Amino acid sequence: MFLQLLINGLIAGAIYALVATGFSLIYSTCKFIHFAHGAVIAFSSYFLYWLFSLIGINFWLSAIMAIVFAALLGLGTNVLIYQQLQKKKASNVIILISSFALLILLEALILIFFGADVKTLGFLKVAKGLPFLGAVITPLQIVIILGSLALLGLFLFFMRKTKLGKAMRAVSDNKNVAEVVGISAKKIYNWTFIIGSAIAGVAAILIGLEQNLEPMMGTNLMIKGFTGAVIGGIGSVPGAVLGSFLLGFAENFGIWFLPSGYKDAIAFVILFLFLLLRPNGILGIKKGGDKK
Amino acid sequence: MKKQTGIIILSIILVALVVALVIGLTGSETGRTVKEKQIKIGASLPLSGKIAYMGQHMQEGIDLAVSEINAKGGINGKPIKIVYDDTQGTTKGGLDSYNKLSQIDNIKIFLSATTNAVMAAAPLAEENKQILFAIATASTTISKAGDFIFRNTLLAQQEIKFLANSLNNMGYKKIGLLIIGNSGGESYRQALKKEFETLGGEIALTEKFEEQSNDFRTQLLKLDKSDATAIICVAHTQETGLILRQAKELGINKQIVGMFATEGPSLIEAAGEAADGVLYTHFFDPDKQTQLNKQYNQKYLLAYGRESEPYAALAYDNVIILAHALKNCDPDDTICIKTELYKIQNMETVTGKTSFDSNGDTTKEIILKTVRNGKFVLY
Repeated sequence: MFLQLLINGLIAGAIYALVATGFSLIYSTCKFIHFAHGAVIAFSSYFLYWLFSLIGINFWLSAIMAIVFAALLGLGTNVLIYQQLQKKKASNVIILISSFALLILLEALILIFFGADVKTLGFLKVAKGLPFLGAVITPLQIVIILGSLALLGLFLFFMRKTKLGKAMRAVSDNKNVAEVVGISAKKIYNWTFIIGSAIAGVAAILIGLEQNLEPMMGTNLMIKGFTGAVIGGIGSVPGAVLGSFLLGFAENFGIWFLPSGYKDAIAFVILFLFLLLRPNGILGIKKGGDKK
Repeated sequence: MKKQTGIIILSIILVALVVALVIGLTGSETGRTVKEKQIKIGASLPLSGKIAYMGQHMQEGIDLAVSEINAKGGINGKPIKIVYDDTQGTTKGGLDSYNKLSQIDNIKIFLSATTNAVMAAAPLAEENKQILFAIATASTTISKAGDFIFRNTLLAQQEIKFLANSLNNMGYKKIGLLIIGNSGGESYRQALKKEFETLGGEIALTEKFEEQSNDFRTQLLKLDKSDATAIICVAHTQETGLILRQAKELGINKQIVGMFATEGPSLIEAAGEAADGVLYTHFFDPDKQTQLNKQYNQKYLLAYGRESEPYAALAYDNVIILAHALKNCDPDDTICIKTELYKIQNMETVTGKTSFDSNGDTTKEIILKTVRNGKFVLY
C-alpha cells in the first residue's frame, strides 16, 4: 500500500520534474517566466505523433527528431518573441504575459492541425505492470523516474564542469558582470532555450507515451511544473526537481487520506503556503542586486 | 512618437468604421435572405477548450446530416445553414454564443451542448419562444427548463436505473464510484447512490477526479482496497480509456463499468487491450443494425475516415429530428415547431427509436454492452 502510493508519487513527481527542469533552467538564467514551455512540450509530443504514428518513421529516429524540434521551437520563441520584446526594453511582466499568449496560440495551432481527439503514440503495449515488493510499476514508469533523475544528474555535471555551463551560471548570477568578462548574454540566452527546450523534448516523449496526447496538455503540465518549480525554489534547477517530487508525493499521499476531489486543492494550498512563508522555496537562494 | 500614435489611432477608427458599415449593410441583407432562401439553425458547441472533442464530433454529425438533407433539396425547398459558435463549454461562453446568434444572426432555432451552456441560454430562449434543442447534455435541471427546451440524449435517470438493475441481478451489491468532479458528475453520483440503495445494495466508496485529469492511479488503488466488487466510472471517453489502462497496469481485477460515453474509437485508442471486458450501458445495438444505421456508419466513414463516435451520432439525430418537425412548419413559427417536436413518437433514428416525453426529453432503448477483442458488442 504505502509502497504503491510512494511509486504513484514518484511517477507523478517525475513527470512534473521533467517539465520543471527546463522551465527552471530558463528562469534562473534568463530571469523571466516562459509559460510557453508547456506548449513546447505539447507541440513536440504531437510532432512525435506526426512522425511516428502518422508518417510511420522508426520510433527512435522520431524521438530524436522530436527532441531537436523541441530545441528549435524553444529557440524560436526566444529569438522571434522574447528577444524582440527585450530590444524594446519590455519589462518581465510583459514577457510573462507574452509567454501566456504564446502558450494559448501554440495550443490553438495544435487544435487546428490535429483536432481535439485524444491521440496515442501506440508504441508500447498496455499490460499489467511488473510486481515489486507488493506494488506494481510498468517499465515505462521506471524509465520516467530514472530518466528524470538521470537528466538532473547530467544537468548538474553540465553546469559544474563544462565551459558553457559555467557561462550560464555566470549570466544567471550577474548578467552585467558576465558581459564585462566577455560572455555574450544573448548567446547564452539562446543556448539556455536550446537546452531547456531539448529537456522539454525528452519530457514530451515520455509524457506522451504515459498519458496520451491532447491539445490542452501543455497548460495542465505547465501549471504543475510551475508549482513544483516554485515549491523547490524557482531560481534553482535541483530545487525544481525536488519541489516536483514533493508535489507528486503530497498529491498522492494527500488523497489517500482526504477525498480525492481535493487533489488539485492540495497542490495549490502547498504553493500558497510556500509563497507566503518561504517564497524562495526549499532550495532557492536570495539573489540580490540583479534587477533588470 | 506623437505622429505615430496619431496614425495608429486614426487607422483604428477607420477600421472600426469600415467593419461597422460592412456589418450594417450585409447584416440586413442576410436578414432578408433568411426569410427567403435558407433555414438558419444556430449551433452553440464546445469547439475549443477542455471538451473540444465533444464539440468537434457533434459538428461532424451535424454537418453530415445537413449535407444529406440539402443534397435532397433541403426542407420544403430551402437549404439548412448551420451557424456555429464556440462556447468553450462554459456558462459565459454559452450566454455569449446565444446572444450573438440570436441578436446578430437572427437565429430562432438552437442546437447546443454541455449543461453550462444550455442552462445559460435556456431561460432566455424560453422567454423569447425560441427552440433550444440540446445534444447529449446530462443534468436533470434541463428537463424542467421550459416548454421550448428539448434534449436528445440517453437520460441519466433511465440509464442509471437500467445499470443498477443489471448489476444487481449480476450479483454486484457493493459498488465503487469513480466520478468526474463537476456538477454533471455529482448528479450522476446522487442518482446512482439512490438507485443502488433502493435495490438493497450499497456504495462502498466514492472517488472523484478533476476534469482533464490524466492520473487515476491513487483513486483506483483506494477503490481496489475497498469492499466494492465493481467500479462504475462516470467520465468522458478518453478518461475512461485511461482509467481502464491504469487499472490494468496496476493489476486491478475488479469489474469496471461505464456509461454510454464509454463507447467510441478513442476508448480503444487510449486503453488498447485493457478495454476488453468493460461493461457499459448504451442505446446502439450492433446486431440490430437498421438500414438507417448502416447507411449512417458508411457515410460517416466516407466523410471523415474513421468510425462514428457517440456524440456525432446524437448530433446527427438532432438535425434529422428537427428537419422532421420543420417539414410541416414555417421556419420562423417556433410554436408550430415546438408542437411538431412533442408529437414525435418512436421515430427511427441512428441512436434507436426516439420519442419525446412531456418535458421534451427523449426516451431510448437501453442495452448492456461490452468490449471483446477491441470491438463494441452486446453483452
